[in-house]
Amino acid sequence: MEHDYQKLLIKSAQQGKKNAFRELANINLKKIYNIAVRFTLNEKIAEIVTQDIFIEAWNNIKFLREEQPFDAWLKGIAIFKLLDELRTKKIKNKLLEDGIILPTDTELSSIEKDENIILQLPEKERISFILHDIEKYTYQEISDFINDMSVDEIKTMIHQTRKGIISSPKYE
Amino acid sequence: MNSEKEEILLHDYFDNLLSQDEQKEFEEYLLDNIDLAIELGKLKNLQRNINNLSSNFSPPDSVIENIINSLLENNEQNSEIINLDIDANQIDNEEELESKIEEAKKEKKKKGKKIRVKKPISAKTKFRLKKVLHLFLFLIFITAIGYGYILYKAENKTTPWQVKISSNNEGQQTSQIGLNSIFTTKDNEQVEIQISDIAKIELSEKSKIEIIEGTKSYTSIKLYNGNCTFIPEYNNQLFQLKLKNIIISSKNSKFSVKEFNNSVKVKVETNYISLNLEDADYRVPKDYEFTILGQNKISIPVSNNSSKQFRRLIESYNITENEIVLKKIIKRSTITDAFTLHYILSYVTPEYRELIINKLQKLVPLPPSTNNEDILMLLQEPLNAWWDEIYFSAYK
Repeated sequence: MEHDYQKLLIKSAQQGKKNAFRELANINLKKIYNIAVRFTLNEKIAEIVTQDIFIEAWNNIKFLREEQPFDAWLKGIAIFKLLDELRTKKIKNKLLEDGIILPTDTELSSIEKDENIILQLPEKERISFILHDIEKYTYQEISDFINDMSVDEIKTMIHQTRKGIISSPKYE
Repeated sequence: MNSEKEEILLHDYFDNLLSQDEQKEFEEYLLDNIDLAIELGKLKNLQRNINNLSSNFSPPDSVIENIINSLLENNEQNSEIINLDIDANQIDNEEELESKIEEAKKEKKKKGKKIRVKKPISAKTKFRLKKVLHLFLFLIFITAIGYGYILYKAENKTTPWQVKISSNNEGQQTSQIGLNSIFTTKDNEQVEIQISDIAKIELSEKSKIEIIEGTKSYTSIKLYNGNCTFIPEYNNQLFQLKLKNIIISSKNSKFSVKEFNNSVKVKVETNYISLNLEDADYRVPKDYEFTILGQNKISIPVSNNSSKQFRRLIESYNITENEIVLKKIIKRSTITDAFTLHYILSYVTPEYRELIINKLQKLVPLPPSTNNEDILMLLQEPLNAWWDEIYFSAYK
């Protein structure tokens, strides 16, 4: 008798009901926001990209099929948007222009040691590591996301990143 | 120091990319290679720590409002633009596609309309996308089974839970409660229990709870007595509260249970809760409340926004089950009382059920998948479908 609450919300959002979409956004917001922060290393940029992600999701939710898991679909949109922002830096440049963020802004940090280790990785290593070890995408999928790297190159990079983390004195 | 080949094998093993035979071979090889085994242990430790990484960053409260405001603005803009969509996937001939685009451009110049051309997806890309999707779904399935088993065994529990106790006499204290333990509060204590990053429970007055289950996907407590408020952190995890013989289930729904003049009142503040009674299941939406009567019975749920008159009629009917009162309830009900009417359907004779159906239809029409006869016979699916319809029209 119990209906899956999220399925009901999706069905309703597909019919154009914004309150249902608001609920869906509330449920998934923190998770998507944290992926955005880990990618962009700036909470202000992450905030704008997160908004764009959900707006894109709203515009395309009618194409979501019943058997497609919503979480994975939303995450796919998030990854595309975030990689686009890292490539073009459109939002970052706009925020710099408007003075909302400064070039001298201090690096993002967290109270959790493991989070900090990830945040301090160089960009390409960080993105690949997040996509594979945290978000559980396969090497092939990551290679499809990041066009200029082959599967083997991504594999090698992630192996080296892991090795770097576990042998770092900060991690002990 | 491990060789390059050993390193590659190690990571492939760690990523579950080896065949069963290769895995067995590698595991035997590990028995004679302590360094490699230690490195594997460190990788597993790293993975465990990553899997336990909580969402450390909180988005500002304004994000959701900004999203909804953008959607509202978009709606207004789109109504002024008329699109001439061309789906290139429907057109095989390139020349035909080019001429269609040219035609559309001319149309645009004439009428100032916007054109959109959907880019063609090559067969190779379509094939690759399908392959990736199948592989992704298969990997999700395998990963979910393996991951679910490991996580359930070792890392899935959320207990012990952190407890903050505030009282006038003794200030604030902290402690912890574990699985299967019973926790009681004193008269003048306010208690806040943090269930990992899943939810919070607030207890007050003389409360007594028992923790039955505490994993990341499912939390269950038994409330023996006292006041309890459940506050979810919007993560779609299932929380169950057992009270007498009734099970209250919540996914993202904030609700409270309060002792009041020898009875127990349940109030739903957000979304909806599901009730599991011995002979029935029911969902109670936000702004509604009910009282628990006895071990396995509840009063008719009524909305906080219903009129005083209507609430008095419901109170009276709860006690007397008088037909004249029932007729008044049906006559005076409004859209605010739709769920109350829906609930009563299952507890009246077919003659009154028909009257309720007629009245409720005027407030919220039956969904296309159902009809009067289905509701009259109290078929579960149609009843649920109508409940959903009432919910979405009440809370759109």
